[in-house]
Amino acid sequence: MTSRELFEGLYEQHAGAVKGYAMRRADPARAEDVVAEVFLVAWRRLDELPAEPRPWLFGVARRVLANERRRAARQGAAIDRLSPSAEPAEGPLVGDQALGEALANLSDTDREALLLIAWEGLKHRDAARVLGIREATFTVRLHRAKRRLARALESRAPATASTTRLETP
Amino acid sequence: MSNSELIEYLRRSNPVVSDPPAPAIAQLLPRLDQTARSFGDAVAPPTSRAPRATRVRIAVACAAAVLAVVVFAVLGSSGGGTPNVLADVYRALSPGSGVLHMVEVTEQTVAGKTSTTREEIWTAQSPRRLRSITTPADGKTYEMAFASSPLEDRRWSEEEPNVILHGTPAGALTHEASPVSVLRELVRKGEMTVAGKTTLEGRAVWQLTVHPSNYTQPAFDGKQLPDPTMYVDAVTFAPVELVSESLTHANGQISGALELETATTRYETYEEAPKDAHSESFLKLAEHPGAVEKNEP
Repeated sequence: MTSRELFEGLYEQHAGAVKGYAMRRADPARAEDVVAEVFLVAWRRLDELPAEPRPWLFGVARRVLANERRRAARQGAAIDRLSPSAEPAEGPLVGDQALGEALANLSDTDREALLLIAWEGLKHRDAARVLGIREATFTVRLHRAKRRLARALESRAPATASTTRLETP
Repeated sequence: MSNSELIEYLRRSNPVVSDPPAPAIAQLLPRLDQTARSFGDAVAPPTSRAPRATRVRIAVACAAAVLAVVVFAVLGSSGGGTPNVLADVYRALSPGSGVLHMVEVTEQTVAGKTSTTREEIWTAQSPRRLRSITTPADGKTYEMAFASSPLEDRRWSEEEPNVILHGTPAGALTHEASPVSVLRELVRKGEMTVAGKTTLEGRAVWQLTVHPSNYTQPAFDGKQLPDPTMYVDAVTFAPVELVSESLTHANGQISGALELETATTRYETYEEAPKDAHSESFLKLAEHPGAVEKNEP
């Protein structure tokens, strides 16, 4: 099988998921550009792709979406800050205002930890790979994120039908 | 709201419930031919000469690769002098055939408030295994153990002490996953330089400056924050301490006033034990009597 055939197989299998990932976090009109950027990176690094490439592709998408880097919001241990994937993503679109506001008040890594599990349906290990952190660190973050989100929701008004766009600094 | 109710609530808020169809690949294929691959495979069929800009980029990349090989050969050669410090650090950070044991304690200080996370890690290669016990500021313990062959992923925490969760990893880790692998990669990529020899709490150390290419330090109060600093033992070159400064919002939020955050990770233990039954036993999840094994939901 040639590199081109391998790449086309990769694209066929994962491009929709990458597009979905982008649409959940950024202007849907940009999603196809994000997909193209992600798969150009994948093409350049075809030999380095892990056996299960989807978390890796999401990690690249996360970095593509993070052109306007929000370094100020970085959380976590010093070592994780130095990790190549430690880039914040854009905010997601949610239709539930109370939830949107609660998510907006979480740190980027807390929010992304929750969404990778709830929206992308990833397991801890794969979600950790997206964030470029170790699974143990991810588990701790996810636990904290759940607790913070629950607290934030408790202190907010009931949901409304309007859409909240989560702005990032 | 319980944890599972919270995740279910989030699931229901998913703005794109099922993945959309992939965009047509046809638009992307022509761009592949202009995109250099990171290995020797020809980028495009050699039917036409690459544009000058591409040729220049390829030439620069080749020159950089040759330079990197030469620099690495120099760094790897024996003898004294600063360049060898990096080569020795690289070796010290490279896993051997035994079981690497490390204890790292990270203190993060924001607005005068310090939180401490302790992590103890055992890791071994061939097959790749990693066990960690993490104790963040809330004092609760999280333990996980992973093995690539036979594939196993088990987790336990004081949050749910009666449960051992079995993950279902899609595949084995393809890269070493340990804190030092990040540092080693920085050395390999030339993103760590030697600042000099000094002492840290009476211990002779080499001071290294980290300048990762993926970000630059922000300014705070009109001053550029310093690059992270890494200290390694002057004799063994094992990591001793990593100090970094960054800006963050108070209470982990993403809005509000920025605060200076100082993070110091101390490597209290960094040692490799020969692989034997005793050291191997640390790679397995501890016994948790009464805990029920459950698959990750």
